[in-house]
Amino acid sequence: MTAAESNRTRRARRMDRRAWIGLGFVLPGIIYFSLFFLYPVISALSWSFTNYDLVTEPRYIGLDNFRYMLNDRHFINGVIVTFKYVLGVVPSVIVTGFLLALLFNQAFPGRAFFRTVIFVPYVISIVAASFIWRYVYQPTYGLWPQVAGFLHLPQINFLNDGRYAIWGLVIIAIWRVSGYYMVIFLSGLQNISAELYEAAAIDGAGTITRFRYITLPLMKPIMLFVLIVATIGAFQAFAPALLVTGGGPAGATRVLQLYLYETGWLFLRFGYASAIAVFMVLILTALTIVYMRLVKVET
Amino acid sequence: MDTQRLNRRTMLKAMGFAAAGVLAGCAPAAPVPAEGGVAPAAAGAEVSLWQHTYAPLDNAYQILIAEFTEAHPEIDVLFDSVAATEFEQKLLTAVAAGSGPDIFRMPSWSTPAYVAKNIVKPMQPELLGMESHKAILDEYAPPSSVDGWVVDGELYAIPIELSTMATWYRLDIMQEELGVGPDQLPKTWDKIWEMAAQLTKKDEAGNTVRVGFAWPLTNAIWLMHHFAPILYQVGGDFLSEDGGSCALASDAGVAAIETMNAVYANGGADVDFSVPQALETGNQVIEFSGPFRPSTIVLNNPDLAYGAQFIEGPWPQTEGGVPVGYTWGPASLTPNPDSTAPEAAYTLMKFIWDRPEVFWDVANIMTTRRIFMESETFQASPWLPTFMAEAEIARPAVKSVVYEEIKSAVALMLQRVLIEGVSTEESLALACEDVNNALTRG
Repeated sequence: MTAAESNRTRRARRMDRRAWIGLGFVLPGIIYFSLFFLYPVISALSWSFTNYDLVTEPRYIGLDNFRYMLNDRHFINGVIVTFKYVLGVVPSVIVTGFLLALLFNQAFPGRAFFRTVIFVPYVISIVAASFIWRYVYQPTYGLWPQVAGFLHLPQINFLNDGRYAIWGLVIIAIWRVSGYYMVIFLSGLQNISAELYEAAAIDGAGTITRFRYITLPLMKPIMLFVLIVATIGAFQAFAPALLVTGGGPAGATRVLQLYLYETGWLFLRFGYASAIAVFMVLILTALTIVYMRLVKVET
Repeated sequence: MDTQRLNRRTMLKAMGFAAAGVLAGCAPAAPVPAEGGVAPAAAGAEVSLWQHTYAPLDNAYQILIAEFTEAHPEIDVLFDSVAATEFEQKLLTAVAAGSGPDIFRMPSWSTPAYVAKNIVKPMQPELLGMESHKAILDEYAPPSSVDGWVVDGELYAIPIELSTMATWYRLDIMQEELGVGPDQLPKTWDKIWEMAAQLTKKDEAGNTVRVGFAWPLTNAIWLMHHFAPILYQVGGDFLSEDGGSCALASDAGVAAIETMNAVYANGGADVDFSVPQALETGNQVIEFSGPFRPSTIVLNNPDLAYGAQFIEGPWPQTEGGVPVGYTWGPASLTPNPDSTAPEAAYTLMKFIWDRPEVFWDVANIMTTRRIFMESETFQASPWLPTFMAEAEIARPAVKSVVYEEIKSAVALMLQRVLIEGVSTEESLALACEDVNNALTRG
């Protein structure tokens, strides 16, 4: 063996050792991901081809669950209600969160206090928040009818009127998560170099021009991130639909997650519930791919 | 997702219990029940008991378990009170892992599904010191009141709560507004809705400030409890005689829904009016509920007293129809067939079963057991006879392995008609489509 070959072997061994050490560092993460993400997804996928009911031995039924899904009007209703909810929540929380971030990016007395106040709904337990909102929406003596009456706004029964019930849940989501997205936007805004604004100001750019040509373009990656996180979050909405409206009236707020829960835990059709879960995973995966493409284009 | 997390836990538990099972194979045989009495419990036995969370029920159990532990120091009781909304999830997950409690609560309406899935097995009367299932059923008056827990003639649980439905009135408001006394309470749907309309009140702006009556429109469980007896009264049923298809879309189905809707049509109720604890606040005058209701009325408004401000009346009947009441049982003692300490479990069940008066004294929870009806507690409770009389004509909820899906279909059906104004026939057809789909899938 020549000296050069010997050096290469030593280097390769050192690389091997470093690779093993590296693997040792990532192994806990791999194990965690496999146990708590990969395994459940594979389990759900395998159950979706069975009549699993949690208690008795599952029987393979091929694509029956997916075939049934196509003709199940409750599933179709769940998809429509969920998309309504997502389309109501996502643009609203992005706009609200961004406007709040712009506001709190300015210096004014009490800024830290008000920022905390706006963030607080996010850390309140969703169950507690749902009960609060159930009281707010009480059609007779709740807070909402009182405020609406005082402001001479139309009295909307968010709990019992199928036309508006889903929008009642959208309002809850805006209240709850806008503060969280505000913080994300705020971190983005604070990363924009002040020099850019100063240079633009020297060139005569006004506030709107600076916002349009500096803030908005530099915030695009953050907006895309918020877009996908908010979309995934909205798709997973469950507790308010269960606790505030119970999916009603007449299924008007029975989002897909709630239908999945009822199918699994009330009707004990875990096979079918898994098929619904697989459908949701596919939808979210598709959205994530679109997001990643958009990010790639942007960068 | 919760489902997957639970199943990982299930797998780990299953491994643990498999190991325990191997060790159990080396254990001596279980003791034989004593002749003519309750089986002797193994010394040092541990019995787990799960019930749904309801504070008064918890209190009753705490008292009974304390007494039991004193009488049977050789048996440790592990009592667990689980939120009703999570109860089935927790129970079924544990049962699937073979780690279910020795005794658990099985609502009467869940019995057919639990039997079909082999979660429960028929009671063992000899371990309860009884000769047969019939002997246990004969302990109740009438025996048919326990029918919700019976499948193919075999009993699967001991009822702890076996309620019937009657009507609660705000007597003070009725007397003040209509001059109606306790001896003039309505007995038919027409009369009760007429009274509800007279008691509904609006302010000067036309806003409803009090309703005569309100259906629990957002609560599927209570909608089912209310709809079922009305359907039975008008001669209808949920399923065909063989149980193989939906029977709701019928003249009786239409009549039952119209009976419920009539109170909105005549102004006795208002779908946009809702006040929590409305009977207690005086924003509602008439309510259907069980015999436990006085305890919550007084708890929520201590100024109200039975006989003065509120009183019970019979469950309304259809004019000229067959009188039918309703019975339902959310709480029971159900032995787990996989229990490792069945004798100790039955010893505890027998102890609790023989003290129905404790549940009444502490929680106003009734059963139709004869020893309870003969007790001083029963004699001293002024509203119990009304509920016991209902038991004589009562029927349980529909008995089906797909009960939960039927309940969901019925709730959606009623919400469509009562809230959204969808035609009764259309809504019934949709409900039957749901029920038939559920039955077909099994």
